[in-house]
Amino acid sequence: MRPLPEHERLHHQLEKHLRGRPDKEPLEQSHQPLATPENKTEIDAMVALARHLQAAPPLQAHPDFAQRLEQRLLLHHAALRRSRLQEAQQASQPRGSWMFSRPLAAYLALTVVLLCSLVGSSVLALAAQATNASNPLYPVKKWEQQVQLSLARSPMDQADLSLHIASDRLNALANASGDTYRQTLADLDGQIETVTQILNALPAGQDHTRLADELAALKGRARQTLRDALPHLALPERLITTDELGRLGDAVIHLNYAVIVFSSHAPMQATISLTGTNFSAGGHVVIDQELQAESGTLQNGTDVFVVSWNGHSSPHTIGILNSDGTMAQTTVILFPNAKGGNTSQDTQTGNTQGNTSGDPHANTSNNGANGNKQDGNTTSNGSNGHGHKNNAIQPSA
Amino acid sequence: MFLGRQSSRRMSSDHAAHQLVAIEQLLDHARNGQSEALSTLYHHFLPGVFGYIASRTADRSTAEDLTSEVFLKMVEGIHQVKATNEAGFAAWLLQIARITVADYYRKRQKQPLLVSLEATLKEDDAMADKSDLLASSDPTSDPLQWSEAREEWSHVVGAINALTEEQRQVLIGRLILGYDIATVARLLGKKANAVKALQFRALQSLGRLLAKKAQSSQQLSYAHQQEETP
Repeated sequence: MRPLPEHERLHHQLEKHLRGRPDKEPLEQSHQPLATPENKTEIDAMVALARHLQAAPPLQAHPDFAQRLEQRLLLHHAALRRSRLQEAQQASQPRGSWMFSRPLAAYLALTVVLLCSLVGSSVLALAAQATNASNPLYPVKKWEQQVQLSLARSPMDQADLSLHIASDRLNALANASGDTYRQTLADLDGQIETVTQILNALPAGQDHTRLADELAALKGRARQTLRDALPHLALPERLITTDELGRLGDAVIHLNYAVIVFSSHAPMQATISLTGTNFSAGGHVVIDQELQAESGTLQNGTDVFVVSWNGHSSPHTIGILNSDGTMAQTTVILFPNAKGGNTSQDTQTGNTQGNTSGDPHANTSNNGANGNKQDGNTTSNGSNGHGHKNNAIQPSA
Repeated sequence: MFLGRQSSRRMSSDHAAHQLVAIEQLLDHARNGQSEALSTLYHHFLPGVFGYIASRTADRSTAEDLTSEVFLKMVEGIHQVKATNEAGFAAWLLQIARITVADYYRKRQKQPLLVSLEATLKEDDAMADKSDLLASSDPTSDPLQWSEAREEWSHVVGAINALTEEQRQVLIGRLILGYDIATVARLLGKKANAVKALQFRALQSLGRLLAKKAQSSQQLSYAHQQEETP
């Protein structure tokens, strides 16, 4: 019988001694390598050396070091995320927005440098007083704040600055609209996220308590400001504001899915049942971003709307505008078979906006394939001429 | 939580298979910016990365600095890494660690500590002075023992640095990360039999280097005793 090579025998011994079990392909007794006294001693010495190395204190990281490094990594990660978020926001600015378009960003930077050298601190002082996000000096103020952030010497300094900047963005939100509103809200969210990350990495103590209190106060003020702003916002802004309120810990409306049943007789009508949480009486259904005049009837947590329906294709999104001004939207739309009322459903999968909490029913079809139709019944509804009547109303401004 | 800290150290094949799946999810979550996933990855791979670096640098504080560098690079590059399993990710991290150690020695304009088998006592003393070994040990408790341990570890580091990179990675994968042969084979892109051979040669070379060093030290010690005897 051919003896197994020495490394096979060593491997077997290592598995036995280091891992506390034989190899997953255990060697049969007859396959054991022939061990001469010499090579047995050598193998034993190698196993002893391996065990010594495995337990060598210099190769083990200290728990204190591990904890310190973890905190450092999380802070670094938070800073990177913030920086990437800002880059993404700047990249997504439309070309018409000259202030942030890439070629003109350099121009802006050069202009700012020239301005600074010419007018010096007076410009920065004026910019620092700009509280309106549409003020031409506001970008200068933001730039100045970013410089301050990058110069922060410690996480606590960074957290204090982020709180200050978040507070500034909150004030700016009151006069912002459209893209400016979205940008300012994203800035606010980013700063709150930064402070939260720093707070999570901070050990318990006075600093932790103070920062937690200040963050809680800021979140409370943010919730109030956003609630006050809601009635003045267009539907898309209401949607992201509701999302932000949810992240700030507010109980906001969440839409799991919509069920649409078409009537089989004229005049064509659709009964839309919305299932979710935190609905309030007097809400309005929103079909493909168009607010409908009809009010719903709230029954056991389901809001039911009957709307006129003709001449249009099947909807891509269904939303609900709550009476408190918050809004949620979903692309998870179910079309039960109108004939016979059986349980077979045609499902249009998609995702849900409005809150982060989810319903198991909706989650099963919420697989990220936004807007993909699963079978042909949805199409047949559309081709049969069903569509929502264009009786949209504008949100109160 | 997907992975326990140090959990892979003694993992069974089934457990390993489960973790290979779990780590794919962890990597996805970490790439999407989830700090919890990043934190779990960090704790899972810290023993391996630190063990690798500490086996190549005799000074603990240097090992800690370089380990920090590696994990900061991990945070910066994780959204770009192509690895989809534990072995692939470990290979990526160990590559960063290898480059970081090489850069460290390049910046210091010196080669990794190589133990001369004919080293003199004078050289040993100088080496011990420069190395801040076993910083965690309390030198005041038993300075002699501490100094001896420090010197011994310096020899071990020198011997490990004399191995090939693949041999070092096999030792780290098997002894510190607790991987089985198949996982180390994936990590190195080699076949299982080749890894077994590398494992054998690594421990054999290490044992011989350390034995020669011990023999050399004993001879020097004996010579000193002879000189001191009237």
